[in-house]
Amino acid sequence: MLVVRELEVMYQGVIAAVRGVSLEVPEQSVVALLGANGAGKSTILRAISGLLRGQGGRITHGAVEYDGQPITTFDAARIVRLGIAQVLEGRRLFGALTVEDNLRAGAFAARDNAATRRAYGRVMELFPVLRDRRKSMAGYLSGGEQQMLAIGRALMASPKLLLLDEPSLGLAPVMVQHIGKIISEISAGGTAVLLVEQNAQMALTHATHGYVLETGQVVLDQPAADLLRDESVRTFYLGLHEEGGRANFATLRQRRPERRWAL
Amino acid sequence: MTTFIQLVFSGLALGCDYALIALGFTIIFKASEVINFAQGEFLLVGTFVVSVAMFTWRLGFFPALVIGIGVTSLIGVLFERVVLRRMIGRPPFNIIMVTIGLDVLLLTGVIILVGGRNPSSPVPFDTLSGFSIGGVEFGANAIASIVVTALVCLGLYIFLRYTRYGLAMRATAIDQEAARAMGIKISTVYALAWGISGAIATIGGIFLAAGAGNPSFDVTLGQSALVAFPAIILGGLDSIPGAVVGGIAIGLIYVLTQGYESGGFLGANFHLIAPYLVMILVLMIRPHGLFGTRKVERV
Ligand SMILES: Nc1ncnc2c1ncn2[C@@H]1O[C@H](COP(=O)(O)OP(=O)(O)OP(=O)(O)O)[C@@H](O)[C@H]1O
Ligand SMILES: [Mg+2]
Repeated sequence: MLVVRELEVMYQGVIAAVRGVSLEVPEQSVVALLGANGAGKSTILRAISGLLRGQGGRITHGAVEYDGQPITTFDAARIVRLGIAQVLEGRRLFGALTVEDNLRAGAFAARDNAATRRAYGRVMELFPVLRDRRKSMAGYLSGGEQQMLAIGRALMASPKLLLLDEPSLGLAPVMVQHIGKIISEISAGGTAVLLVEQNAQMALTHATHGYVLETGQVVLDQPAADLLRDESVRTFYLGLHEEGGRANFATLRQRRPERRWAL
Repeated sequence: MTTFIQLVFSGLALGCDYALIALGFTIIFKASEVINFAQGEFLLVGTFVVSVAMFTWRLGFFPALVIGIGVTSLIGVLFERVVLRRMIGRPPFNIIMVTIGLDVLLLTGVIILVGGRNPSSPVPFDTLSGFSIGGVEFGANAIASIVVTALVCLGLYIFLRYTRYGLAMRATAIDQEAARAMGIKISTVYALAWGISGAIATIGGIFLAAGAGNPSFDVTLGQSALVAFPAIILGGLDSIPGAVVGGIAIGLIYVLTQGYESGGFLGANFHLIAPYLVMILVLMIRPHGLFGTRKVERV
């Protein structure tokens, strides 16, 4: 349903953050997008959701297609209405608003009241804790609750594709696992997920396919199960260091020249 | 005692005018972090248009009011669309200079149109009417100013609390990018803020023009908006309740010091600086004003 072709993104016309990335998110799938800090993961999500413009970024080459339609030039509001919702990195809740108002805001682009009611019911099903906290200020929720609210808020638009930017950030292992399960449930419910993560273990456990990004380029593009077994991914992302060194992914690649990444 | 009640009532009424003016600043600042230095001239333009509609075109007060509000809001929206939109991301100082430019432009425009004569204050009733109880005068203008301010606040509250676009405005004020991610158009929110602000300015301007029972007003009307500055700072720049409380507080301080200062050791014009002194004192204790936000965050 989502196809990104040879995407190039520049910030302020000079910083090339994404350099020729192609990727695909099929219907109802969970696709993981992994990469170190600054690799360009968030930039790709913003390019898809139309939020680049507010950041001084611009798509300089390539295209984003959704259900066969190029959406590269659409503004963010139109893209939300088409059925793509993004959960920003760091949750970005409206802290001074109640949980309920955050959810209402998430439904801003919803087609009608019936759709909003359905989405609300679904969010309460996925996150029962939010029901008890619905009159609390979002800013006072626990970290885990905040991430659930951030996801719930995006789901209020009844998206067909959910872009999730590092949902495990700053959460305890149990909560990370819980969020992982939620992601599987969301895709089982008919919403595809493009999942940006630093936590490769969690992401690849729930994803069907994975991409590894490095300085704005895709260096690995494989089924999630294969990536989970891949030596270099295990070493670099799963913390299973052989020598405990702080080797970066690039030097790992150089050390093992027999492996050729699809570039 | 009679004097005290009288002063409190007058102070409250004046404070409500200030509150209306302060609200205009606050709504724009909350939405877009722009301090609109042309707000004073919005008051003047709005009041002037209502006056022209009433006395030149011979319309009734309420149709004239609708036209005045429409014109002022439109100027605000157009200014946002045509000028400010291109300034997004520029340093605040540049944006402030542009709003000062608009201020001068609007003032000059009105001066040319007025042509040296003072326009009549557009009011729907005799400003000198009223009644008195136990020696306390309740002027019609003062009562109207209190009632209308209360209605404006109620209207704003309902709009912000219960409507879709009200929620969009509150969300945008907190986090623009997150709001955009929900499909909220920032340009619509800005336009709304400038429009509402222009409407409120028109209402505030009319009360200010009619304030002292003057049959006419002159082009310095806009400058009186500056008295709302201590009110905004006192309440906290980004707080709507703060604008109202700050406005009323400044009105009370002004009128009470004016009423009691004569013969006092502080001299005869102390009321002119009293609001600023209170503002400075409050800022020393609470740098964000009484109601200004520090972010709501879990610690
Ligand atoms: N608004 C911006 N203006 C200029 N450069 C930016 C901007 N946002 C990101 N960049 C740059 O683009 C590159 C990619 O950033 P991006 O945020 O997409 O990385 P990321 O993979 O999401 O990293 P992280 O894991 O830390 O979130 C980085 O070099 C970053 O400095
Ligand atoms: Mg990121």
